[in-house]
Amino acid sequence: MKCHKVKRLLSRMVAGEVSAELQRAITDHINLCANCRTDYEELKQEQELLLSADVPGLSPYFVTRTIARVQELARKKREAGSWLRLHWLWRFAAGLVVAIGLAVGIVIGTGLGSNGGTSADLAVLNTIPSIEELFAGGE
Amino acid sequence: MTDDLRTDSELVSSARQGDLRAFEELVRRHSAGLFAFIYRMVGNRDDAEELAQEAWVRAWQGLKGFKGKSGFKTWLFRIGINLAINFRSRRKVHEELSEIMPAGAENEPGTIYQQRVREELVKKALQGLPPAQRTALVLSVYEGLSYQEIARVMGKSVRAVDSLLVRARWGLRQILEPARKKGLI
Repeated sequence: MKCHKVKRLLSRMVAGEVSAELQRAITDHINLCANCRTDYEELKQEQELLLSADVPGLSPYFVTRTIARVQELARKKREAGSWLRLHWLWRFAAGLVVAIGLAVGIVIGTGLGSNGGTSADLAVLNTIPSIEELFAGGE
Repeated sequence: MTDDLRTDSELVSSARQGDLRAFEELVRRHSAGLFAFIYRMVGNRDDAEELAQEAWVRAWQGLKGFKGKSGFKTWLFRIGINLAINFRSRRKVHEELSEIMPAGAENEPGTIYQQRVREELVKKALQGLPPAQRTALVLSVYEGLSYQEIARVMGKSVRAVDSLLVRARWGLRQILEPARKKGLI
């Protein structure tokens, strides 16, 4: 196996991502090639260095704080949902009032037309003298 | 059945119906792993906690969109990766100006000092890598994911992951070269 191919496979080897057969071939090459052996040793040292670094612990109230934040979000979402429902009810009520108003208007209007002007409103209109009556009275 | 005996997918399915207790169990189960992963990506404890919490909030908000094609942890880590990468790009200039060692560290006892030097070296080396290479390396070294799993989490091909990891290893070597010359490794 050539050096450039071995160098390319070394990171796979450190990660344990090569087959047993390939590992044997790489190891055979490393045993004979000082340059590739140095590369492999350095890669292993770097891997050990990476693994030696600890991570600080998560603060003890992380879960509580996170859940509190999620609960707050869930509550806001619920409230927003109920406000939207209320809003929808208000819109429905307003529509209903307009519809009732229109219906009442239509009923009254139709009633006036069908009574032929004999309703109280038309009776008032009938008491107003016509232009001929006004002139006749003046002579 | 108590929540801690239920599988992730059972908990996810309850949480999707609005069951906060099920979601809490998921938070309990995966927070340490998510935090450790993000910490290695951003190199700062407070930032990592903040981002981990943000990842959980986004997970809760996006739970209905989670189709379950990948595992919950994979999906969660994907959220964490996106947050950490975006966060890093905003803080790049500040991080480049930071020193290797905190003030006063040299007064600590030998082994503690050495350990702190190693931790700072690792932190600096990881932060020196481009985000995609760092992500692949952290998933490989610390999460122990196979190339195939990394490819799934990162949404890349196995070949691309291989290439990222080769470049990450060589990049790491260049960053650590001065420390190696000083005999710190």
